[in-house]
Amino acid sequence: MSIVTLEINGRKVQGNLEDTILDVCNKNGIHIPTLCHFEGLIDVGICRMCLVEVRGAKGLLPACVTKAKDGMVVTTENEKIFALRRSNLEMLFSERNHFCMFCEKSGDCELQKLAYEHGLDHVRYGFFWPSLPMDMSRKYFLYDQNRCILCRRCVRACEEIAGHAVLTVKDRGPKSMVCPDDDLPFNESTCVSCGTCLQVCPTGALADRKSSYVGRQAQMTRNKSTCTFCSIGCEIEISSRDGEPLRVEGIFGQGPTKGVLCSSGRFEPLFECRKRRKSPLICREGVTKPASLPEALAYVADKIKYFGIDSFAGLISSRATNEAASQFKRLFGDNTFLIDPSGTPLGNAFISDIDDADCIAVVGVNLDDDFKAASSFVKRAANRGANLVVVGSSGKRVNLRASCHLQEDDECNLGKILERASKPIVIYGPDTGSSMMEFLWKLRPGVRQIGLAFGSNSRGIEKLGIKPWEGDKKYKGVYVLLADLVLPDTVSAFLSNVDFVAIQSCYEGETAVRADVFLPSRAWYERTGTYVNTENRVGQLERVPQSLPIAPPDEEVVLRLYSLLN
Amino acid sequence: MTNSFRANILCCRGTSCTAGGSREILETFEEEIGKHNLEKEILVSFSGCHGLCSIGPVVVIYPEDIFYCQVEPKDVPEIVEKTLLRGILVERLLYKDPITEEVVPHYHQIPFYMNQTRILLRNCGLINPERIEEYIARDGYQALAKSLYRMSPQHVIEEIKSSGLRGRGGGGFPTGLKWELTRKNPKEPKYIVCNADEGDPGAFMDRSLIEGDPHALVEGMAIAGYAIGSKKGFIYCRAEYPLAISRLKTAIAQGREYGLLGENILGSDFSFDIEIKEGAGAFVCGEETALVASIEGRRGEPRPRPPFPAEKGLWGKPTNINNVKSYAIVPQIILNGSEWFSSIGTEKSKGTAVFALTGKVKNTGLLEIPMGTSLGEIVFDIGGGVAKDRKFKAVQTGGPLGGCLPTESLNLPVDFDSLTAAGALMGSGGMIVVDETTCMVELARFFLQFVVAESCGQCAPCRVGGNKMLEILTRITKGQGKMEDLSMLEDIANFMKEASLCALGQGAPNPVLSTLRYFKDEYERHILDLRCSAGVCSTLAPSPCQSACPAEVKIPIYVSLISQGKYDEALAIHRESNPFPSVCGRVCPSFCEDKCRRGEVDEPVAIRDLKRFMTTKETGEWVPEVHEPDKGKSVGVVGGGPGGLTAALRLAQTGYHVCIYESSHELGGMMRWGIPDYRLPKDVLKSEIKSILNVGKIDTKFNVTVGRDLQLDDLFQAHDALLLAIGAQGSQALGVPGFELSGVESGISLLRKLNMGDDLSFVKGKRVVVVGGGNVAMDAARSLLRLGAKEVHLVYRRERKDMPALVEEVEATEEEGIHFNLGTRRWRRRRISAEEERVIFHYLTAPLQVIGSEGRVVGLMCQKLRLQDEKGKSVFDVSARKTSFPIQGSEFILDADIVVAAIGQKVDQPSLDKWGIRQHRNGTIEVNPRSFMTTRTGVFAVGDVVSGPASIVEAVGQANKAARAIDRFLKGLPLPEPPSLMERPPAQKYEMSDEDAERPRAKASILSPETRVYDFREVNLGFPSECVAKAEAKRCLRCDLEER
Repeated sequence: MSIVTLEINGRKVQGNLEDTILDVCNKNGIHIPTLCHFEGLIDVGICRMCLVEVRGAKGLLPACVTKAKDGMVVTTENEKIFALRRSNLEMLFSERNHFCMFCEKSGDCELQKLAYEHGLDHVRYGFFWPSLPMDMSRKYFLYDQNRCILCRRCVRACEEIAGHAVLTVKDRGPKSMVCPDDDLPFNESTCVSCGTCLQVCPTGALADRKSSYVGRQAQMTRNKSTCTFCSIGCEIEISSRDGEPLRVEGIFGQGPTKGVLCSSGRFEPLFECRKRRKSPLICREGVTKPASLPEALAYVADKIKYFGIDSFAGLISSRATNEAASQFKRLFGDNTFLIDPSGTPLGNAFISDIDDADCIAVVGVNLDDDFKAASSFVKRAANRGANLVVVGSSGKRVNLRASCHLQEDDECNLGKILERASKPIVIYGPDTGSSMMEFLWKLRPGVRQIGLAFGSNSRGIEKLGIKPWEGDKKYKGVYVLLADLVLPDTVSAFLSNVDFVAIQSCYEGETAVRADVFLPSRAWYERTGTYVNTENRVGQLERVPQSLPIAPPDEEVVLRLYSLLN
Repeated sequence: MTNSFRANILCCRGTSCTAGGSREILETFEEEIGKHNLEKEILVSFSGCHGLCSIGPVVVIYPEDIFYCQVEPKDVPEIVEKTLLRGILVERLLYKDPITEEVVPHYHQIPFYMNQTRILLRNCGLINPERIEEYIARDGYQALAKSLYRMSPQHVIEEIKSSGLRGRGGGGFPTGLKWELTRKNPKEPKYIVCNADEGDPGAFMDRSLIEGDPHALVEGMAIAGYAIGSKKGFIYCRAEYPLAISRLKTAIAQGREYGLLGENILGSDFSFDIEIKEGAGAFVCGEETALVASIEGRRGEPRPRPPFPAEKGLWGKPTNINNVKSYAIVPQIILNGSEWFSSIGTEKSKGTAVFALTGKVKNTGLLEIPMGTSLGEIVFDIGGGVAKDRKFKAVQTGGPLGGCLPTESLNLPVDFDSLTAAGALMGSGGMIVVDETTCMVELARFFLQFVVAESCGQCAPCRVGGNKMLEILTRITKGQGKMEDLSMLEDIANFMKEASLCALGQGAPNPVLSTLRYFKDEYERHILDLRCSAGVCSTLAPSPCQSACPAEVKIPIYVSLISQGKYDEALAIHRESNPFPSVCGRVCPSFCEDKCRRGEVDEPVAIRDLKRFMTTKETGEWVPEVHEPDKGKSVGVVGGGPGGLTAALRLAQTGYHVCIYESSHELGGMMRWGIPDYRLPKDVLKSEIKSILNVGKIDTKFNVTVGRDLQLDDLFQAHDALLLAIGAQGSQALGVPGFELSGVESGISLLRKLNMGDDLSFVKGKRVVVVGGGNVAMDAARSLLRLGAKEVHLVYRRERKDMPALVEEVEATEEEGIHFNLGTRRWRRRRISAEEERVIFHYLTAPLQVIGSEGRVVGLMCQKLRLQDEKGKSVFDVSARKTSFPIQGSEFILDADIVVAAIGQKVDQPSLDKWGIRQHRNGTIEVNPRSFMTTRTGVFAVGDVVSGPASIVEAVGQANKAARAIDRFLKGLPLPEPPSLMERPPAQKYEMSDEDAERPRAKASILSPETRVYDFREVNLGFPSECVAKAEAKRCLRCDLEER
């Protein structure tokens, strides 16, 4: 890569050939204020905050879109530029409601930060006092146009990062307004609540409801973890206070989806409405009584001894960590079964490989509902013009973008299409038919394939040699490590025919009531350990600091039971 | 085999003429031709826009070059019968020159066309735009053939480069260089894009060109494609131009059919095709990057440049984007050579410019002129001057992003750089002429409103800044402005220019900046006085007439009262603002009528005649009311003219004692001494003054000349404040040798002698030369006629239309026995027989020397003048009139016994300085324009001594304000008084009967010229009856009742 040398503010600095002036400045520690720029989004140069002087150029140029050229002489800061930026901020402040004291984002707001930077102590231009409607139609977040500065990060992120391309700008000039689809309320639009827009909004225009009006970013603790709600295992950052998670965000550029999340990972866990059960319960002769953990464990151990370990099945949900699963396996041996198995063979490519594919075939997998974060990659590939082939159905929204629909078993045409493409990629999943699967298998290694699995950590647990639960064998007693999974109906039916049921779960509910022994389990943000995602990558789970777990880690509970038995 | 026809009828099928019904005309022609079996003799066809859209629908008949305008289908049989069968012209359909009022039968002799250089528009109006054969017959596609077979692409680019062609879209970037940049870009494929997204209000150049000559664009684009190495062209044309789009489609289809588009053009290995993209009409899509986005199917929004489209255009590929005119001129350059092209125009702007001239100009339409033609030549020579002969105010060039150029810029050569330097833009070629009835603040607001609405909304400078400026301007037009707003406007404007993303945001402040630069006084008047000079801003101007009146008389109210027969009430309303209804009903210049909204419909309401009429219906004698108790203070008023009398009355009504010091033996000032009886009878004036004095508290001291008999300090002994209303009594000296000769007289002193009753019988039988073109010159001439002068010659250095005298005065003078050796014969039918022609007008003539013999005048040597300088160019002065230049060797002598110099008055009061009262260089007194206080505390001044020679009503208006200021001064309140809005009645729905809406303006009875020139009887006899007056009053539209 060739190097360019520029003179910025009298200093000789270097950058790469394709760098913009802003890139070079960032690399060299020269601060240029920005608003519409966001790492990972295509720069558009509309906020006019990064205007710099380039010798010989007509007028000022936006640093974010101006390519650095060898020998360029740039001034990023002088009185005129500073005054211009200040005026620009004044304009923004005068345009809509930017009264920080009433804004959730105050303290964490980029506009406010720039105002401080530029010594903005009043606005000369007077305020417009518009009264724009708020969109409160969403459960998880709200949209307040009054605080929007039209930087369009959300619009671009929705299209370029999340791929949904729901947000757009309506009208022109001062009437310009960011809106979903054809100016519909969010809940009537095609918005899928992925929340990417919230994460890029520099002001309080788009804010999630959980963390709003409960404190500033500075009062929160942030920690990295892995999302446990599907097998993709996105890397997340959890903002929490006093151990309570308040916000989940993607980490741009990292993890299997490079920061793209979905509503199931970003919002739903924060709005969990099942009631948490903090202490064990023992049900003897129809009477349920609270018990201590040792008591409960001793009771379970007695029952196992009574029935014999071989008549005892261990059912584990894929929400359990690898660590818990291996202890579980040790305890129940061959009688250990996975409740929600992957159902899909491992692929040979990563989800992020979709980005450079020219043809994407989605074969028998519902991306819309089951693998939302992966659907973003497929959608944005289609947005940029890649050929999208859907075999069977991949969900309504993804289907819409397909340039070609094939029957579920149309291997012949799929083969032809893949042959024509120069960089094809196939996505298959648990619903992919077996003959189709066989066909795909033969294409390897020439065609890259992504295998999407059910069960958050199913790949990890299956790797430990734990077999899927078939439901055909007879057992006298069952120990279910459910974690935060909802008990599937098939398992539930099985349990009603078993003499003794112990359930280790986070939440109370029908299952807990029907269990002979209820053991508490740690919730998603309290867990530490590892997951293996559908791409066979290992993800690290971190407990939210200061969270006060109500129970020992799952593996420890199992271990204690094990020691009681041996 | 082609027929040969003896005549060709071309109906204009431009957008404007088509809207006027040219299709029916065309069909009727075909029908009529059929009826007379002339199908084989006469070809009926149609053409594109001729350019002179204001007089459409247009029909031209070749080869005779007959130009019929405002043709209706019912005229067609007559044209066929008379012109085509018998060779007779249908005179009523011929073009009438709005300036000379002469009939111009031939197309190419119409001044509008004669003064143009039509290169780009050469085919417009001449060929049938839907027939490629006609284009080919006019050398069409020869340039393409020449390029393909005789020139290399590089050679074509070189040719365009050396022609000096600059982008006609307004940016002015060298076209050849742009082509070269695109060509040199190694990326493939390359695209050619034509920007036909003409969106400026009032601009229709591209549209007319496409509609009139679409093949020129197609050929130009094909040549560009060849030169640049592109196979594909796009024309981005707004969907609101359906005719242009359909003509283009036809042209492209014909081009393909003839092998001039498509694969292997003309058998060469060059292939090129054109696709039309219809734009949805966003103004910003005229910006090239937004246009590219729009073609690509994205939201039409600009992006920062660089990279320019030559580098990264359509779908990221190198793209050359030019305006319609830039492409369409290319074939001409290729055919005639770059040298030919660069010989036209100025050093840095070559070739011609096409403008759409609109607004308050007589000839509106499409025109083409060489670059460097002055703005004045466009407006006055081609445009025919300002419509209704109103005062020129400004030209707005370059569309909403351009600027307004004032009178001072009329000599500005129109080219890219001069316009930019003056704060305007070439733009894509819209040119809007603005007259005195346009408010510049409102104009700036209008354009800004357009741009703000059309802003894409991406960047804050344009989106917020523009809106902010709009808010401020709106506030100013509503009378809520502050002086700080003006600096704020400049501040925001400069910020927008620096920081906006695209040319729209950068150009948006131009209308504001240029009006602030040239018309700051109008802004200040809105803010400081709460008045809109043009009478446009509805909050500040209840009605145009009232705001045009210097005394702010509530005209709609009293006119309405007249219509109800409530004359006394009407008079009371009038006298609140102006105590001289009888005088002003006769001699007021009636600024109100010039601005009357009814005048936009047909003719203005005859306000002055109505005013005069109500005075004849007054019951009893007016005794002015005294509004306030006696203040025990007194004010000395020097001068008993209209200003002095009005001020005295207002002060007396406010409770002050007033003493008027009058240098003559009668009150009235110039009303008494300067106006002959036939215009203002003495008894009318006397009784008006008498009723004013009925107020009491006014003493009069006659024959006292302040400065000679009394000093200012003496007056201060007796009074608490003073008002100087001493008028402009002196006359401008003739300033040529021989002015001292006996028989040389000033106009003013002649009139004074006349009104004094001096014996002027010596005039009888004499030859008199009157020099000047003002009201005094006309009064002098008409009085001399009545005194029995044998011949009166009027010598005036400009044209008739430039004369400062009231038009009706000039006409009356003409009527009273006139022969013209220049100018028009407007009163042809009423002209008296030749032997009675006793007034001779000499226009464009200047006096050189008074010739005398034995100390007495025997003649005046004059010189003819012309309106062009030695290079044949018109030069405009600050009054928007053409400067005249002497014609050497044209000297001639007018025999004369008397020479009357009526070339202007001046203030004749030398002693003011020693009293601490500062004067301007021309002698007028320096006053605060709002309080009328002079530089000496307690001394105020109004009237001609302040404003220079002006009208009665102006003096009255000033006197009203000065009286209020004196009152404040004597009460110890700060000056000037805070401004207040003009009163206006509450808005209500006003329904006018159809009869009133249709009724023409009523005429007053006027003595016939034949009978009136023998004595000083009053000429105007007023309305013949009450019902005429009432009916005339009902013509008022009551625009003061409009919702605002």
